[in-house]
Amino acid sequence: MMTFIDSIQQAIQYDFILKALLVGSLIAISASVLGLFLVLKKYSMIGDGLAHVSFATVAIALWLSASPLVVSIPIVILASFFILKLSEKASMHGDAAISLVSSFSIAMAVLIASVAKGFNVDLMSYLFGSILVISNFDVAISAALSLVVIVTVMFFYHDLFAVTFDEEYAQAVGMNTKFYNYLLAVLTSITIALGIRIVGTMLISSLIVFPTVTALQVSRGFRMTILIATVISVVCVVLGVFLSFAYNLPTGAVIVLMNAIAFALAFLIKALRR
Amino acid sequence: MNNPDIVNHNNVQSLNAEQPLKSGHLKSIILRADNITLKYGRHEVLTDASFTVEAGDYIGIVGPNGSGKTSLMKAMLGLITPSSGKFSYAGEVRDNRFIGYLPQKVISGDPLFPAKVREVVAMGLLSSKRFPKHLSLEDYKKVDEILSRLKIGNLAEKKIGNLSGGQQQRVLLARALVSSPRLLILDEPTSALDPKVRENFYGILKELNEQDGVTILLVSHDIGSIGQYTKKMLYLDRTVVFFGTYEDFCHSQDMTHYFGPLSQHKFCWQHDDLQESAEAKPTFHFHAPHIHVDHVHAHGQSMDHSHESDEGYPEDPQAEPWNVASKAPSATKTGSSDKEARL
Repeated sequence: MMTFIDSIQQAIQYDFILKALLVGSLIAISASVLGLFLVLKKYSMIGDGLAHVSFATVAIALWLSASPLVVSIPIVILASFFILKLSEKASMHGDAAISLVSSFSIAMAVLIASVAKGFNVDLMSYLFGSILVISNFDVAISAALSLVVIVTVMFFYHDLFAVTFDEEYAQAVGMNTKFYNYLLAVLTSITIALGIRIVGTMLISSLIVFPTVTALQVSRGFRMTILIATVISVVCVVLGVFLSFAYNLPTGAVIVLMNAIAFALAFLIKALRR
Repeated sequence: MNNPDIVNHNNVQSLNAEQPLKSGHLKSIILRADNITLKYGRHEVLTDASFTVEAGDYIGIVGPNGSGKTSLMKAMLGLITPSSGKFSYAGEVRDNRFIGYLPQKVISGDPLFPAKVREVVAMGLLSSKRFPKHLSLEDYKKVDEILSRLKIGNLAEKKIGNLSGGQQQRVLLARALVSSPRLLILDEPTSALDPKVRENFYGILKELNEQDGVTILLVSHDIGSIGQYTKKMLYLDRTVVFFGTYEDFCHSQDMTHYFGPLSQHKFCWQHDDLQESAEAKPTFHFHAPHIHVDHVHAHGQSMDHSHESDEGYPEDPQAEPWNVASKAPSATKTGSSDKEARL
């Protein structure tokens, strides 16, 4: 235990660790405030789908030697609209729409990577995330956009709640439910595009789903669920960053592992309460 | 008052509203439906329906499955747009916070949904708010008031998914009422309730209608029993078959033709013997043996109709019924050979 505390003290000497803690926590908060709406609307998988789109856009950005974030965010937002449109048309269910877009994106990423040889290593760092290469520019954009996501959810909290609870009722009392669905899609896209830098394409959707499902085990109210999810998520990210530094493990994977442990604990608490 | 504020909302125009609603006052029209036709794709589910709703009305909208009653209600709420015809609302009624809506399904299918009763009821106040929406302490006081009025104050902190069907229905009624609406629209509110809870629920509605002067539109397939609660009947079968008071219904020769004398007598609840038996047996159902031949199928169209055998639907008319344009005269004869005649 002593060695772990030592390595924490050692870790916070490093710039990149501080950046990872800051960006990681902000993304954890954004992902978990969105998570409850997405999980309850049965859109858990949208995070996964959009992460794959982000991966493709990173390939494009690296190919064009542009900043991945700048290229990713608009394209991922468009992809999320596309998924909503596909599932609005009754001919396709939401999960089918997501898997179409998702596998198409991966295919594009692989094709681009093989055509434009030479950046495979960089691309791989986006697959599983890396905290070593976060630029100051990334930190600034990530911090600003996560704040936008968090504040927007706070402003529209009541509407998003009503639309999630019963879309038809919300529409009947005059709410523009379509607008809120697209708003959620935009906010999710931003969060995903920011998040793959740290936890990686394969694992980012766990930041959306895990804390929410964990909180659902122990909470009753809606607001309380979001609050618990946020706290759990931030604790997991912070622990994950330190543990991965101390034991030289991949950060994204450790964060997900922490989330899994938190879920197991919450599940246990729920079972014992009965 | 020559300048009513025009609210354009899915073919909705505003009417001049006479005056604030109080029971016993001069009756003002708060909703007028002119020649409403509703379509899903090519299928016409309701043809040329016209009627007026006056302040203080308590109208049962009834008819068999597939008669267009739920579609009509959705159109009134602006959820679907009529393909022709229009609804005119008294100006301040169309403003959404003056319409309370109680949907049919009890909870959004998800017992895990983490929402406390207080949070759900507070939702009813959102339509009157502007961005950024914020619920004040005063709003929550309103929520608690309506909860205690409906005698569910003790449930305020409970998770909605853990409540019984009757309790959930009352919570949703509280949500519909918390903004003090002038018009309350309910879709099959009692279909999931047991008889005792149902009586109780109708008692609350009666009080709202008579003491608070709330206008109520209640969609139901249970024509056999809602006559004892509502004041007027709007009978739909893909068009308006009858609209008026139960007294008119009882004395209408056309309705005798349409329903047969026995059914007409039972549906209109104007008779002492029925009133008494209703008190003794609140879930009175009219068990008319009938074969409900569906003219939709007779037309060769395909719509999903499920037939319930003993819900007191009318027997098919012997003669060409009054005011039913879309009815195929041959329906009773050709009938339905296969799957739809499930009796």
